[in-house]
Formats: sequence, C-alpha cells, structure tokens
Amino acid sequence: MTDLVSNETIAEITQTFWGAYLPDAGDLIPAVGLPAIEDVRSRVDIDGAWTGCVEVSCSMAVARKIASVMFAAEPSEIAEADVRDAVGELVNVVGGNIKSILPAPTSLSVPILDDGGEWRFAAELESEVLLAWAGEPIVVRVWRPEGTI
Amino acid sequence: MTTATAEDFQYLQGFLLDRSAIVLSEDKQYLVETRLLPVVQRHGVESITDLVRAIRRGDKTVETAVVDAMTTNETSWFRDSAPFDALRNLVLPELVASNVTRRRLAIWSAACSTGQELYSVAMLLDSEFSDLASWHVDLHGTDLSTTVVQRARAGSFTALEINRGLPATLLVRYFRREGAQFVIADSIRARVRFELFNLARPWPPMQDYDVILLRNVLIYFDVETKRNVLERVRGRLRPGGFLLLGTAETTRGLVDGFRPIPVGATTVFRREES
Amino acid sequence: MRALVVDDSRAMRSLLRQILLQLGIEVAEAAEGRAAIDLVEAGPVPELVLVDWHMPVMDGLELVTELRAHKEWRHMAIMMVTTESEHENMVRALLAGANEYLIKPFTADAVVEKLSLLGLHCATVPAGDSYGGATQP
Repeated sequence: MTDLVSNETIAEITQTFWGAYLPDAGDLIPAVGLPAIEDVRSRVDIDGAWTGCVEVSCSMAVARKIASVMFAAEPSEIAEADVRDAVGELVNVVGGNIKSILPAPTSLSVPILDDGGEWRFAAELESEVLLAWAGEPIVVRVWRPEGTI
Repeated sequence: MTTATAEDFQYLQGFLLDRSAIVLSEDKQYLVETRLLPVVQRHGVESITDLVRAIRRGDKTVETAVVDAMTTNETSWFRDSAPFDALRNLVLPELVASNVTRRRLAIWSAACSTGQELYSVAMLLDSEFSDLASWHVDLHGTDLSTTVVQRARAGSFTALEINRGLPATLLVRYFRREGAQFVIADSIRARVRFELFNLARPWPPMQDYDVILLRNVLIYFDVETKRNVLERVRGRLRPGGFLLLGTAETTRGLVDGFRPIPVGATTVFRREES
Repeated sequence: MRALVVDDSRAMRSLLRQILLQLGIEVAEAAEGRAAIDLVEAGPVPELVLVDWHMPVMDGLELVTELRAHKEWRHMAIMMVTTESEHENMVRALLAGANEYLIKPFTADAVVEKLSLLGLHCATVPAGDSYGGATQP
C-alpha cells in the first residue's frame, strides 16, 4: 500500500477536505503522540483492481464541529444521526480520493457508519495517519483483507 | 510570537512595494500574518520579526519565500468565462484574419501564476482554432514568483485547482491522472513556455505580441505603477493587438492609445493603429 | 432559478444548499436517483441538477441516463458533484449526458465558476426572484 498511496498523500487528501469545507476553522496538522479518541467511526469499501477499505474516526467533539459547519448550526443543536452523516461524507471524500489514486477500475461503497454494533472486520492494517484539529485527533486508516498483500 | 510588529509591517510594506510593486495597505496586517506564519514554520524561525531580520541580512531564500507567500496566486482556468468568450468570438477570429499572410501569432500571459490562463488559451486554440496548427504560435507566460513559474512548467494540478472553472470536456480531453494530480497533455505543454518576469522592474528587450493578458494584476499597483506598466504593455503590443484586463480594470484615465471594445460581458482594449 | 441536489449525505446536501441559496437559487433535495426522478416528475422541473455518483437505490450515472431519456427535460443542466474522478468514469458521465463535473471536495467559488460555464449566471440574481414557469413542461 505504501507504494501506492503514501501517508503524506493520505494526510494531504484529508487536509484538502478541511481546506475546502472548513476553511475558517483552523488547520488540520500531523499529530504525534496524541491519544486516538474514536467516538465516531465510518468507512467506505473499495472493490475491484484494488480491494480494501478506508476508515476515518474521530472524537465526538470533532465530529460535532464538522457537522456544525456543514449543517450551518450550533454544534450542540445537531442530532447525533446528522453528526454521523457528516463523518460519513468525510470518509466518502477521503476514501473516494484515495480510490482515484489506486489501480482502476474499482467501485466505491456508500459510507458505512459504526452504529455501535460489530465493527471488527477481517482485515490487516496497511496505513494509519493520525492528524489533529484544534488539539483533537482524527485517524485515517487503510485496511486490506487478510492474506492479501 | 505570531503577530507582526508595526515595525515589521512597515518594513514589509517597503520591501513588497520594491520587489513586486504590491501596495500593502494598513488594513492588511492580518494578511501578512496568515500568509507568513507558514513561512516562519517552514524556515524553522521563531517569528515574523525573524523573517524580516533575514531579509535585511539579504537572505535570498527567505526573500523569495516571502514574495511567493504574499503574492496572490488565486487562479482558475476559464476564470469568469467572459474574457475567453471575447477571445473566442472576437479577438482570435480578428487576428486569424489579419495575420493570415504572416501565419504568426504571439500571446503573452503577463501574470500567469501557475499557468491555468495560458494553458486555457492553448486548449482553446487546439480545440476551436485548428487552422492555427500550421502557424507559428508563441504562447508565453511570465510571473514574478519562482515557485509559481516552476509549477506552471510542471503543468500538474490538484483536484481543487482542476475544479476552478475548467470545463469538464477539456478536463477529460487534455488531462491525465498521475496519482492525486491531474497533468496537462504533453501536446499542450509543448506549445507554451514560462519564464520569470517582474512587470514592475525594467524590462529586457522583447518581442511584440498580438494579445497580452494582464488580468487582476493592476489592482495591486498604485496609480503610478499602473500607468508605467500599461505604457510598456502598449509598447509591446502590435498595432491592432488586444489587451485583456480583469473585470474591474481599465486603461481609461491611465494611458492613451487603446480603444475599449465591449464584447459580451467584458471589455477588451485594442491598440490603435498609430 | 431552481436546483435539485441529489446526494445520499444530508451534510453534503446542506452544504450545497447553503452555497446555492446564497446565489439566489431555490433548492430541492433528494437522497438518491429514484427519489430525484419522482421529484422532477412531480414538478416543477429544476433548471439545474447536482448529482452525486455513489448512492443507494439508484446511483448518479443511472440517474443522468434516466433524466436524459426524457426529451422534455433536455434543457436541464446536469452537473456531477462527486469524489469519483477516474478518467474513464468522468467520460461515462459526460457521455450519459452530464454537462459539467465537480470533484469533491470543492470550494464555493468552484461552484459559482461551474455554474458560469453552464451559462447559469446566477450570482447577480436576487433571491427568490428567478423561479418562473419557463422550463415547466
């Protein structure tokens, strides 16, 4: 995977989401040593010439802030389902842009939200990028099915 | 220390006026800070004051980085489409007719930024003026920023840049994907050339052009510099050649010898036959 | 003017709605292609349809194909707004009848410029003033 998409590219793609949609909300920067808080998780599956998935997780505070910009409402006023939806769009954009760099053709699933049920899947971690926004962590992971290289 | 002191700001005003003829008004303090803090981080110094110190010392790397950061590189492809409609519907047909025996055409994008404007012209010529394929066409782009000129030469753009006013038909026809970047076709890149050039400094001897694009540059200059640049532009434009300015810009009240011609939603300025 | 935003993300529909409303464009929303067709059939017909690619039930490519199968809707401008940016897929969408293509993520400026490319000069249209019956069947 690292040959196909570097951690720098994953970070860049994620930062582009912030630059486009949250331009006034401060920069997303590489985080070192920040404990990952994964209150909200979402993923998209990629299938075809390359198979695997892209997962984004973040704290509820970050998720609420993203949603508050996208829904143009106060963070406290947003329903939890809408908060998850906003993170779903984040993973759609990040995953979709990663897909475009991978060998084609592939298809992209709609965002799959962690609704508190079973979230483990048979996969091996390919890449993990930890970013920080206003002191809060955002984690982007790329997974591949077990046994594939 | 993230703020610029009054002294730093005053020094940068003078430096940028001298280096790039940019007028930095008093209300632009925030701009200095937002643009220069990344430079502070990149150069591993503590503050904007340190950057100013480095410039005073004559550190060319820092000078270049500061000019690059402070020069607006906001650019898009067929930016506010009206000027390109003017090229398509009036300027190019006129020039194709008047230059038919010379079979030469020279176009200068005089503040080309990362190249979108000149590449747009090249794509327009290729897709809609195929008669010109056998002509000698010089498409010349210049900018005062080294980084920007290098990026223009590379012809490689992010999705965010590609989104800015590039028609989808041209995107699929003239760009290929390389990783996260969209790269312009070699056939288009081979037709353009990009060079470093500072409009506000003395100009080297240069050829004459049929079209000069000088869009959204004058707005950054004071009146004296505007007049001076426009006079020199007129000197490099062939009689009957066209000057294209930004939407809010004009030659009126600044320089003689241009006839404004309204075309669609814009106005082009034609050099009078003298 | 009236636009229909088709995207399975409520957050994305909300973001696009904010941008379009600022341009004085009225906005209707659908979460996938089938619901979008129903809305267009019920009328009034929008001048502009913004279409995500990856959606449940009916995806964006099918939606564009379906919309273009109706001759009476031929004046409708269709713009894809999606992360899908494989060259081959962009060509497929244009061949199916999409007029423009915007890659996510995008800025509000990019939306305005794309609308200008589509000949929809809406930035100067006062809010609520432009929605007439001209395009209704």
